[in-house]
Amino acid sequence: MTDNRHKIEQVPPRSDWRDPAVEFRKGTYCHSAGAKYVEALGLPNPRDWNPADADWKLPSDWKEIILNGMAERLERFRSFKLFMDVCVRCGACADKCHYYLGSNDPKNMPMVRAELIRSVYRRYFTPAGRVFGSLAGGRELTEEVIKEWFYYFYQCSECRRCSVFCPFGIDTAEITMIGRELLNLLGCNINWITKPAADCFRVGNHLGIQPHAFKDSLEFAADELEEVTGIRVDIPIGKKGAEVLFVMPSADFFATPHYYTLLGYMSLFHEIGLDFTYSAYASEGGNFGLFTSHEMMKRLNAKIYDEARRLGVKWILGGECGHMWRVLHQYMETMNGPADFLEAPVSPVTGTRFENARSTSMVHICEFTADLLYHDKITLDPKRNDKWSVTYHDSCNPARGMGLLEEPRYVLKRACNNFHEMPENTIREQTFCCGSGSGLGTDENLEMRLRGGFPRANAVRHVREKHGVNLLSCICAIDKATMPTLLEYWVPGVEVAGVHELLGNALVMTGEKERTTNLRGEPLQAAVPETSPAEVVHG
Amino acid sequence: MAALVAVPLLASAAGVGKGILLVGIPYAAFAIFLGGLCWRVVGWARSPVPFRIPTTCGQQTSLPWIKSAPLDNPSTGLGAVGRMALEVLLFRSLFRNNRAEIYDQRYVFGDSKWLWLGALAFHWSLLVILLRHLRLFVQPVPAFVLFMGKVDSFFQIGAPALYLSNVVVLCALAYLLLRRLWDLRLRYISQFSDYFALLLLLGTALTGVLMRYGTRVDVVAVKRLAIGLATFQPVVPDGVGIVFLIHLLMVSALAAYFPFSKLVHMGGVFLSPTRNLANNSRMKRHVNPWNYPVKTHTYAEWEEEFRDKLLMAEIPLDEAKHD
Amino acid sequence: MRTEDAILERWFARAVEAYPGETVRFLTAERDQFRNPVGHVLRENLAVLLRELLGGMEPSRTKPALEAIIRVRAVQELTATQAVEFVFALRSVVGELAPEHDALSLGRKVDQLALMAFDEYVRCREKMYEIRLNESRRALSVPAAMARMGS
Ligand code: HEM
Ligand code: SF4
Ligand code: SF4
Repeated sequence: MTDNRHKIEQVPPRSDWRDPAVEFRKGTYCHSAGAKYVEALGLPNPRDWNPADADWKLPSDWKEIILNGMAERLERFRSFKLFMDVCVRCGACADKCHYYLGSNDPKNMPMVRAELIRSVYRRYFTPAGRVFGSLAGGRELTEEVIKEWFYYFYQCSECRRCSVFCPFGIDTAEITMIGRELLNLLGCNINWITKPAADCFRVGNHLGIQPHAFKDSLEFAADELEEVTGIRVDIPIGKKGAEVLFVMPSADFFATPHYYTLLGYMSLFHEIGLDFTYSAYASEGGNFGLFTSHEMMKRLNAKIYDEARRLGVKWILGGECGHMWRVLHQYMETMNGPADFLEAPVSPVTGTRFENARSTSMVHICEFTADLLYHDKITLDPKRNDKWSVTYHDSCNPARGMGLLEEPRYVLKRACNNFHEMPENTIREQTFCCGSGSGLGTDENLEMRLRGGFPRANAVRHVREKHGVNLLSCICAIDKATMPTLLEYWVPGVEVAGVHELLGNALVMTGEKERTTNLRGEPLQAAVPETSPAEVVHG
Repeated sequence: MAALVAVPLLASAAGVGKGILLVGIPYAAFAIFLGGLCWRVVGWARSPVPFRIPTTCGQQTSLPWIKSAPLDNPSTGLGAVGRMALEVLLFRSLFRNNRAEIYDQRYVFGDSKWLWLGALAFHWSLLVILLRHLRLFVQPVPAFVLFMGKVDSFFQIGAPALYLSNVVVLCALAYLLLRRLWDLRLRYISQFSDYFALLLLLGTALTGVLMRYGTRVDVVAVKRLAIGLATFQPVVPDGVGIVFLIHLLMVSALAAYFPFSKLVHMGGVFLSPTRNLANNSRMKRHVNPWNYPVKTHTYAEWEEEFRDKLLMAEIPLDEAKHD
Repeated sequence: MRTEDAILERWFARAVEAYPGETVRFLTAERDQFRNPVGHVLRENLAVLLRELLGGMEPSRTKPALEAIIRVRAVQELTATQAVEFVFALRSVVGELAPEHDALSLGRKVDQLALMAFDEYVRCREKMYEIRLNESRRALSVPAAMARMGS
């Protein structure tokens, strides 16, 4: 280099990934879990500590705990064992992780993230690693390694994008899940996961909203809906013998813009006369156990079937939430089934039997609504959404842990006149994560979230510039909580809404008053006139 | 290097040494290969698949009028077999990197696409070459092997005719090695074993090619050795030559190294739970063999705890408790 | 290759020096705008800035381009200096590749741009506080909605 006058600092390349040292810089990690929440859940080693401290107050036999924990999980999970063995380090997954793309930190490449634990596996569990150590890719387990795990396993949103591209299907999310399980054995958990989990366990939902306040929120929503539509909807809670139990993520009744989605569900259920009930006991569909351990997932999920059994419903309908559906679709019946006390779901309106959910007996609201629309059982007036130019963000879990791709699109295209897809390598199974999933959506972690969310926002910016998109729709409670923040920074001017909010706007309800506002209480802006303004004046 | 070691060895060793080199080592290596591979596969198979966790890469099977993606998101066992076949035969997932891209009116074929092509070229030519080796081990030579040879040497370049697969395997291996050295990201993650496997394969292939097109080898002698090995009546022929010996030793090293390295991906790919399961989680219950009871917060406990609040809000209590 | 293109290439190379070495080639080589968003934003907007610096420094074009780059760098593992340093690098790049350029006027424009970059960096950091606040408001908004009802 001929001229270095302006070089002030140069970042040295990290020559060796085996070096576990990490710096806990403010804005890029999550706070540790409060001792009382750890205790409330009966998890190990509750204490006050801080990831930025030198001393993490690990139990004295921490190393044994981790190694035993690994041994146990290697025997329990073929996924874990296999993924420890078969990576060929081909690098196909390297640039698929949004955290890598946004941060450019090489340790965020999925195979390196996995290698952090794989190297320990080699050193302690394989003959080659035991004999040849680092030559065979092994690494000693030290406290520094635990800190490094904490840093990088809470920097993976378990989105499975890397898994789509791996020739062996190696799912780094699965490895992260096990990694977090191991960290939990030492009490290294984060508050934004453990606190909601504790509240969900005891009270029923992430915010610890008690039954009477739950009812208040729903009644309040009914009031709001009445203002917009002139129609009073029922709020059945814990109604025995209802046909359907409806479970939603709790954010739907306490946060915006989730809340407008709730108004959408309410209008829909009223319009079709669904015989359903909410539950104050199972007032949370989300499950932060998924981000803690398989056991915690099962403990939190048990409520849903228990409540369905107690109320004697025929089947369960689930609201818009990403990770909730990962659990419901891929884990619930295995963990807490069989669901032999329920029936195969049948839509009371169309008579459609949801064959794809016949065993678990739980249907996604988008499946349910798409079926209604297909059979023309409800009337929509998409013009009411004309102020929006809409795109759709596939949430990771419904996309890659389920394959729910077309149903929401079908609903959107019927409910809106202006719909534009983002570029093909950023949607459907290749969708980019919001960067805040799997319990990382906390505000102290904002900088990291903005990095992780940049690839997604970059695609939103593209459709904003190309098609004037001003609304991002999605079916995930975490998206609804964190995307507005993300977009406010990266693509100001794009708002976020649930699919059923848009449906609720467009839904023509019997006996409704003329709508002057949408569910947000904002004026229904007239469509951009097709005729030129001059003609309108003369007309 | 290897030759320096092998020459004095060969010179000094009369019957016994040669027997060990030509018969003992190959047998031992093959035994390690088989035993090791079985041990690995059985090891994986012994760990259960507690949850049904396919990575879904297309539309699910749901409502009858929505077109599903039966291969990228299969809902039946047959579909899953099809998905696996695509993975194993065509490297479907690796292919996802590929996309027609046009920049500044130019079509660009970036690094990630070459990986798919390079990997596919390497593996298929490796398979062809392995199958071609049957002609040494089986008498009479199976018809498909002869046919394969014909197709492979279609262009009839040189004498003996150049096998395309040989050219391809060398190019592909060179590419795979170079990209590891060239791309700093890959260099960052590459380990000794990554280079070792590639170099071993490259060495094996080079010595093989050398025998065919360079220092000709006594095919009759080699064939006697091969058939002897295959029928467990080993003979130690004379005059197989030094290059052959190196080739044989490298193959043996590769076989013995196989089960203990990343090369076992050959077995692992078939067992991957994110690929070989049908996405029918809600249609059919998947059973976890170690499912154990956990502590939950039961409805009765919950009702007890929030009784006042429930009464206040007029949310119906459980009948059993009501009276 | 036109001198301008050469300058752009070299400038880009200097701008990505702030990142870990392993990543530099990826940032440079991968041209897909969605697969390599950071590299894309950088390349696209450096081109605009270069045109403006060699031309008239039209604020309506300069500012958005600069903002787009700084917005990315402000959230990354870079110090403030690292985030804006690339602006200064242009001076030496032009000096090397196009010595015939009027160094004085270019130098002045570069300085001006650098000051704008610092401003923008600070604005981005402030924006982060603001969006944090807004997020926490949304997270518990039923009372907020109630207030709206009351009015
Ligand atoms: C069912 C059989 C097999 C399948 C489906 C398979 C699949 C794959 C795939 C998808 C990759 C990643 C792409 C790449 O890096 O090239 C790979 C890499 C590799 N495979 Fe295989 N493979 C099989 C058998 C074998 C065998 C028998 C060998 C050799 C003994 C082998 C040697 C390698 C090597 C050395 C690499 C790494 C290349 C590199 O370092 O870049 N594979 N394999
Ligand atoms: S794509 Fe799969 S095999 Fe290749 S490096 Fe990533 S995890 Fe390993
Ligand atoms: S699961 Fe998602 S966040 Fe985690 S390593 Fe893979 S791509 Fe990155």
